[in-house]
Amino acid sequence: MSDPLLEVSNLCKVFNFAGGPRSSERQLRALDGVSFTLKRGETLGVVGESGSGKSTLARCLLRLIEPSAGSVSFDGLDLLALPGSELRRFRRRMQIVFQDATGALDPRMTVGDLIEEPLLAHGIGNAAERRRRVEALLARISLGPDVARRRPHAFSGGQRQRIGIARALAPNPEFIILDEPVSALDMSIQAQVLNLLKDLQQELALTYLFIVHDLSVAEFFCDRILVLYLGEVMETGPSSALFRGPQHPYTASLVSAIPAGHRRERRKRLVLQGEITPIGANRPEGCVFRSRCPVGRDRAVCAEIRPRLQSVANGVEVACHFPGSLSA
Amino acid sequence: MIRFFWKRISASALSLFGASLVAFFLLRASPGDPARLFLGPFAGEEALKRVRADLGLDGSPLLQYLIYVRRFLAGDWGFSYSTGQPVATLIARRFPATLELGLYAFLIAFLSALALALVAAYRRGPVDGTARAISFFTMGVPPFWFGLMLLLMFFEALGWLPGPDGRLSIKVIEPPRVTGLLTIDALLAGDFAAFRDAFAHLALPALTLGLTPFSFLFRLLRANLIDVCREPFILVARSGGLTRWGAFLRHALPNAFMPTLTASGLLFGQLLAGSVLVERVFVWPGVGALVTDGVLKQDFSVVQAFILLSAAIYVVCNLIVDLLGGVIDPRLAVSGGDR
Amino acid sequence: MSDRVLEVSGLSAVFATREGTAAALRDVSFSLEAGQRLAVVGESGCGKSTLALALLGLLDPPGQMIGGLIRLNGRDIANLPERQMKAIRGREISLIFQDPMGSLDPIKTIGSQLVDALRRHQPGLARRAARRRAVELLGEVEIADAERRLGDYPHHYSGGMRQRVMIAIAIANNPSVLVADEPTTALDVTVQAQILKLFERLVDRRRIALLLITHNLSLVADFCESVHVMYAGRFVECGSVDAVFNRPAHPYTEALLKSIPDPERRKGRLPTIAGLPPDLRRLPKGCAFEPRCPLGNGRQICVSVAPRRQRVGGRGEDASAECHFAAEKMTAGVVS
Repeated sequence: MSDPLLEVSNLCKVFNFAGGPRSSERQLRALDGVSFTLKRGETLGVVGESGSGKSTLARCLLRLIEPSAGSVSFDGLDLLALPGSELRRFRRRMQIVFQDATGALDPRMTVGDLIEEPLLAHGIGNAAERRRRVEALLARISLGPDVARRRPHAFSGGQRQRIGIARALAPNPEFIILDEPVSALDMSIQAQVLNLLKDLQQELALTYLFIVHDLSVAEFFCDRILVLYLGEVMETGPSSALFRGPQHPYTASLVSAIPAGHRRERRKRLVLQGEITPIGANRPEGCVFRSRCPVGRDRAVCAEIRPRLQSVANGVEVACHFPGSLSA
Repeated sequence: MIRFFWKRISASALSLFGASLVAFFLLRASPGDPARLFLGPFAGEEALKRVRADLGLDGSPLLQYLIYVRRFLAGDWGFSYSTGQPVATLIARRFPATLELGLYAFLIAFLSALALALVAAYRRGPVDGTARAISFFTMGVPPFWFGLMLLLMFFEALGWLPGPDGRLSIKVIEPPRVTGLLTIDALLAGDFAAFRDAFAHLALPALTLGLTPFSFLFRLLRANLIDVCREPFILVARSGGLTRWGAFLRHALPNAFMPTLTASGLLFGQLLAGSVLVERVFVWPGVGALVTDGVLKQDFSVVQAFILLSAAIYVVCNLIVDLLGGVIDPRLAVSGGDR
Repeated sequence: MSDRVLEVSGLSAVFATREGTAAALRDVSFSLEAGQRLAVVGESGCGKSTLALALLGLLDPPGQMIGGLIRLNGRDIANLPERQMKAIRGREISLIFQDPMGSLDPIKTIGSQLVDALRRHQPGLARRAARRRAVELLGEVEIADAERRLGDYPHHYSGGMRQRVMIAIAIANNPSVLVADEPTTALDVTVQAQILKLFERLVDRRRIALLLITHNLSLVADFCESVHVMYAGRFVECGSVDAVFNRPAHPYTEALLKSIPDPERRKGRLPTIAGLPPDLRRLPKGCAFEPRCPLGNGRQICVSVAPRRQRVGGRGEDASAECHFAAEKMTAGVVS
């Protein structure tokens, strides 16, 4: 099956806040023109810092919030056109695991109830079948069946994250969005959870959208990577290609910001100036990254013309007027 | 910041408007014919009609409402049939008593709650336990019982404080009226005997009235203090060289103060609206007693005026508290007050 | 011999819990020289944050220091009364916390918090002079338009900027030692890089001894010269960054290094550490890592005898590991 599971085209989201005397101030452009496809069984990493729009993207894909423009097509279905009842049925096939496992799990429910909840919501199986499924899932995430009776606060961060994963797996989805699932975990626990996710993907033929800010985790875990900055796609392509030879200056700075670890040579540090400032109602002219870009900061073309995604070698697409300027 | 102030003020104005509507229409919906009550069972139809017109009970509601508002703003708050006096005069005479009592009660409640909460939240352990026990007691005790007990102890048994004979002993002459608050007026006139007497009369009723607000304020402030103490910036302050108590006072207290401030506004408004039972126990010539009588006797104008007055007090208290809040905690002002 | 500003010896601390006493720090020793950058690395619950608090005497009940020496600039501060301790905090030793969002008083301006910090330890400093100094400090931490910023409130600032303000406050009185507890964990990656670079500059310029506490091993390698790896309240391995990272002597360090996703390694499953960290209330009498150790699990000596610190040669001063088989490991060659 070579047809893509997920096709996103020109997705946009603008948040409007309660208007003051000057309503134009109270808008936030979270996403602007985001497009990508996802093949079955693939893992796409969405990389970006705060304000990049990655969480908004996740929520738009599930229609937990409604996009302002663009289209999302899942297995040929136009997601944004689905009426409420069918949307619920479709939600069986697409699940999400959140970063903050502690916040995402209702502290007053038992673990068993939490994992069972999606089954109840979608009317899957009778009581006995549900209980069996919960036990099977708990075993799969390496927690014993007696865990079902306890509450989330009795568990460590890594265990809670695994519970969140079991919950997402309950309705047997095809596609799982992982919103920073390991960012809050210790290194060794992170490794455990990543291993679990990889195993599950192979066993259950899952497709993942993996939202992450740590580029080295992204490179390790994902087949392809999408780099977002202030809601726009800067670069996308196979993860190893992006990592070895980042074309976009922002990707290059992200790669350079990865601590060298115990590798012998240290990369030259590319430290960006300034900070991310969210975009209000009026998108600045030209490239959104320009104000912090060591390459384009003073260039007229970067200030006036918004760069479009263009293909360069190796399956990589970049939105930059001077791609490849900063590759080592 | 200006926008924040403006929003708050217009919101208050809107509340007042709503309160006036309620006062006006709700009362009209209540059973009983005020005109008849006013004139007695033998009044003739003519007289009844005249009184109804006077009270604004005939004609279109909208027109009557406008007339009512105009009269109110002009100082004509209606006529109390049961006492034979203009409502405005009645209230003007009795309100200062309630105001003075409320002020002292609030002061006592607030200051003791503050002191106890500081100690309880800082020391924790058995001290905190004792403080909370005290607050449970004060919360559960009916004020009128407590007042009677106080009278029994301090008046009857010990004779330290005067009994339930109003604001001033019979022998003492009232100081010239400037504010209506006897203690203030006495000080202004330099009459220390009157001051002492008025103060002594205030002691027990203020303690009684302050009981419930005290317990509420204490629990609120204590909880907020404990919450704020968990915040990182307290530890940061200590790592910079502040002692634990120093960090507590300088950083925890101001931050914990905000929600308490809001509650204080509400409580103070409540106190000003008069407490019937306490006024009865101490024979205090305040507004609370006035309005209960008005309700029991279906003295229409009194009740109506009182609803509007207490609503106004609430709204003003809340407005002041909100504005103060915006000054103390700049985050509120930034969001335009949209929390 | 360069100046040692901080010497810690035999530091131990416990936490009282309902189900027993947890040993949070067990006989911790290390030293810092002016301008040195030492990292303490460990995962949650290893005791690194307890160490930070204990160094500043901020360990509150139910935590308690139960022994050890802390010599700061030649003076033993481990048992100093609060009155004297508060003169030292922020003046000779400062602490930077992880959470920039909650670390500043939300209802006081940045300027007043800086001025407060300055005047706390320099009471003779006039207000205007303190303000000038505050502006200078903000400039030193690379906050533009500093004069105007003094009147800002913390909520006007992003996480990165707040952390810069925290750093300014911490160095305001020129401390000898700066303890940074996960200073960049809550920040974006590019901002992290900026802040670390700032640290580098400040620490070098002012010759401050930096103790960097973090769980991020990769960060350590880039930034510090020496590293101490902490597990269950003890330093299980110490040494220069290059040595520890390229030839770890302790199995825990090795396992930790392997669990980091490394793009230059072949992809596949990440090696993980089996089991969970030990219950600090019921520590075994042998090695605390033994139940999870690929090398020592089940071995008699590891189960019954707690390993002592062993010097590991050729890895710089103070290089050591607490493992019965450290020497064996080293001679066996580079472990893949």
